[in-house]
Amino acid sequence: MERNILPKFLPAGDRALTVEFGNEISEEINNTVIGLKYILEQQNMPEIEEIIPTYRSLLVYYNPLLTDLVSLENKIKYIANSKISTNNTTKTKNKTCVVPVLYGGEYGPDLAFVAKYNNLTENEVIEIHSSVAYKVYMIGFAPGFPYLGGMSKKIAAPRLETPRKLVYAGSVGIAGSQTGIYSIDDPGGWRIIGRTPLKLYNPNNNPPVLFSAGDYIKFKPITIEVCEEIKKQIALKSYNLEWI
Amino acid sequence: MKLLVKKPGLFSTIQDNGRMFYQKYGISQSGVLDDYSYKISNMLVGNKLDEAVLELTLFGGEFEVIESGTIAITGADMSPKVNNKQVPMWETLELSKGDVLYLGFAKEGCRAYIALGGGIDVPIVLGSRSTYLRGKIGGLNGTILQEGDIVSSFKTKALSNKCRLPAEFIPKYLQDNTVRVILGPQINYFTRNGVKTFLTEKFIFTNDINRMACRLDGASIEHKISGNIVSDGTPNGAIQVPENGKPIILLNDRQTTGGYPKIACAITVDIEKIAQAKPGDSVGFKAISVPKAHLIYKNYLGNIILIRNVLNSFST
Repeated sequence: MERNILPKFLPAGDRALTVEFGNEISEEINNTVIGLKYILEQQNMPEIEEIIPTYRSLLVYYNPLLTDLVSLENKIKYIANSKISTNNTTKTKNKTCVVPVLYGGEYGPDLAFVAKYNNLTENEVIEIHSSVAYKVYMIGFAPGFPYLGGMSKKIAAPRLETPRKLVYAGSVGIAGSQTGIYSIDDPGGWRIIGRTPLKLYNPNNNPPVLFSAGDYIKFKPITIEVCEEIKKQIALKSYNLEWI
Repeated sequence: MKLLVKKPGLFSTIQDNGRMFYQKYGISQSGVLDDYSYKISNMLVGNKLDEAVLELTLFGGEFEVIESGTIAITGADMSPKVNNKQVPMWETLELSKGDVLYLGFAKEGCRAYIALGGGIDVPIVLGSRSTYLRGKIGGLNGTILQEGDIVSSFKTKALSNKCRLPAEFIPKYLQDNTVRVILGPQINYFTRNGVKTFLTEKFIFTNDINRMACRLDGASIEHKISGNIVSDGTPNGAIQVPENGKPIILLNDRQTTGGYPKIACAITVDIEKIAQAKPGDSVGFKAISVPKAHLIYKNYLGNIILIRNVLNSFST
């Protein structure tokens, strides 16, 4: 498939520049985006204020007192080019975080629906959902909310017709062929199949969120006893995330 | 100084310059919507320009002074009164213990700002004192002002010199504005007619306006194919157009990413015009180049420095 490895530069107002690598969801494009983000962050570029990586582009906030659009574009183009020529596009950290999930019951009220919808048992849904590592393509929508890629279509399920007024933080859901974790209490229409005791957003921590774009997540089924124990440890700040 | 909140108003929060460096974590930038009124209010009480202030929306509320000090009110005209007597805006006011400050409905503009001499004393959370409702952080307990809250300022040396902003620097809030924009980043998601509609029609601010976004009504802007994109970053002032063709202007508390195509982004200096628009007001859009927008921004900052010098020369 033909792809633009070289980015397009699109002005996004007078303080930001969109550096776009494509307009689809693909792991290759996303790796390129995250690769460039790491490299830009390592440069000493005081004119850049903030970089937001997304599925397929970077939004680069800049200080118009320190640069103009043409200079900034040229500088990023140069960095992107030299990066590609050294074939360093996808060298990002590949770590996988284990996310314990209590599936079903009161914490996963839609597990039965997802199973029935796909002619599977609840255990088969859990098995499929927790068997692969999901890539965090980007963070957005809410503080610390990870957009995950790579869910099996075997457990895909449509959103609720009427969204719930409140979905608790930590709820693990399915919407179409996407899966995700609610990072804050929020209204929402995803099919909720379980809940993690982990806090994806905690403003008292630095960084305040658990995951960054480029991380991987693997779900691990746990029992109510383990869930309660993890909650206790989190409250006592003695819980250590499990990275594999 | 200390203010006791007797009536919290419609939507009152503590805001400063906003949060930087956290948008990649999905945390909104927050901060004052009207930068000009904000900076002037701080100048008038002798603060640094980036101290936290109160931002009041459409209806101000009532505050009892429980420890005296100075304030300045700028932005929307909510007919401020102290002990039932009209007081001027855009100048330093001295308030004494027991005084009651009242701000009514906005006659002109939408958002008023109150700076307290010394700056509002709330903790810095993730680099800012700004209230961020969705993240439940900043301001007082991460939420809007409640009856019974006490808004305190940092201790400051003797009352700062009183001063008044010269009339030529006081903005007029019109019910019809032209907001200058940079076209894109998704301009090619719209037909030529769609772009023409955007740049020639007037749009009306609906009742659905808040610190996250303003929904506009008016002619429908035509997409080429679809009103959806693979989500990408959303700069401040971005004007996104969902499937129904009605533009939405994103503001400081917006989500950091979004899935609607953005036809244009308002220039930084014109965001205050959007911030001061009330439901029913109208707006048109005019495209300018990025270098032009940067020049306008630099002139704006130059003007701020000029005003600070003018105020300093009056007060010494």
